[in-house]
Amino acid sequence: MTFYYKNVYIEDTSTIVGPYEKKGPLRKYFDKTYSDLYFGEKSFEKAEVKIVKDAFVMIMKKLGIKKEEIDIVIGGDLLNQITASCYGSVGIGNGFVGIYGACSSSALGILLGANFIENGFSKNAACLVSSHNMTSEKQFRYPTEYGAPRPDSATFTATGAAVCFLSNEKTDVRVECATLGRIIDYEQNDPNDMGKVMAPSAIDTLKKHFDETGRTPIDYDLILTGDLGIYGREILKDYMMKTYQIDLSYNYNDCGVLLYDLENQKEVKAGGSGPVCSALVMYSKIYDMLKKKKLKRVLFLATGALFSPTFLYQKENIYSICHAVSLEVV
Amino acid sequence: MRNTKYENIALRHKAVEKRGENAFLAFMSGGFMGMIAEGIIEFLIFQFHMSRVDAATFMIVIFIFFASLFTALGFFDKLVQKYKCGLLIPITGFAHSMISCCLDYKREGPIYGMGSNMFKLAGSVILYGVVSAWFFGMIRFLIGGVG
Repeated sequence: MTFYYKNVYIEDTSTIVGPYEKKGPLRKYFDKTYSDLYFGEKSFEKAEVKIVKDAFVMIMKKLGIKKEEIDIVIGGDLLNQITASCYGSVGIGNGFVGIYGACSSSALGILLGANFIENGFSKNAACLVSSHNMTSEKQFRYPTEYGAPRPDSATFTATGAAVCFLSNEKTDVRVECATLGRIIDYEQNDPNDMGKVMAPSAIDTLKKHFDETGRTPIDYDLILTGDLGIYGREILKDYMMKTYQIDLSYNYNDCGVLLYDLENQKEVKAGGSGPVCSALVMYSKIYDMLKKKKLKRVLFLATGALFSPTFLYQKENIYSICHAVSLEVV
Repeated sequence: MRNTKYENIALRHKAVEKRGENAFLAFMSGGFMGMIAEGIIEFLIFQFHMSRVDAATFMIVIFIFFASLFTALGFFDKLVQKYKCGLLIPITGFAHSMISCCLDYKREGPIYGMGSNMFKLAGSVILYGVVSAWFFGMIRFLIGGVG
């Protein structure tokens, strides 16, 4: 399930972030930052919709295009009924596709957009992802103001919205290939250790990607997973080495670890998570480095935990999924 | 399927919780709360010449008030993160759980929001508290009779 593309380019990206990401090490790469979590809105859900709209305004401003010039909008987030993407994308583009891949939505969006463009069905696609720390806390965990101490293995949902604008017009960075992942069940059931839940899907997709393309880690300047956190990252490295003798020790890292300053931002525990976590790192610093040709080829694996609190209480396991996208300098 | 090899590798990269430190912090913060409570009771008895039972009731009301206020002001959860569950064990935890649910749903209005969600966390405590009170009251009645 690896697709190769010849004609899909990244025209530009936009990233809007909240206060915690603003305090992180990637601050200077973001297009717009906010200092509080409401962004001038009355509820956290509306705040998430607001940053989605901001991300669209930013990308249109950067590219100098109008709303109608966007062919397809592909959007995903964590809220029930993917509300933030739907409500934030109203009036934008000529077609909308809502996707749910939990935290893997960013890579899934690029993969779908690239398929549309490569097959000539559309000229461009705006791939949107968003998440908000407070809305996902409310939906998946405890009330936002409730102070349940979290274990060190827990991850912290990133706040932000990001758009990656794909097009068939030639630019410096292209989407080279993408591997569609499958749903993995390793009988995991700890919602406070998402790194351990999602690492199996990253292992599966990474192995599949290497098998189908015949590549090895040396073929990439950088391999990035979405939001495994510090513990998940080590599990992945160790497992790949011990089981498949694939050495990830020198060019692999995790977006959840890179997004925050783990030493000084103790509240994030094991690292960032959420659909936007991987997108914020990829579309800001990594995209910048690709444009400046400091990196030649990057493999991006967005990992998602298909976690439902209802199913967890009904004693079901947490499944996970991971999609891979390879970006390359032209 | 359960992958034993995966579990073994994952076990090697497990987060090490500082259980001892956390327990000590909770013990100290819980003890500190108890000390404040005792101070309030002594103050009420001394200043307003209350009975000890009345003073204890007033102390609980004062604790509920401040836990609710600090939750609403947005820093009680941060205190709990820092000083652990010692702050939650007394009546404050109960007030905190109700107010935090309430705050979460204030935008959905008084009926569908706050009203229906206020007992989301506290509901179980109330239900099983009342049921067990009835149950043990019944046992006591059957064994010892009235009074």
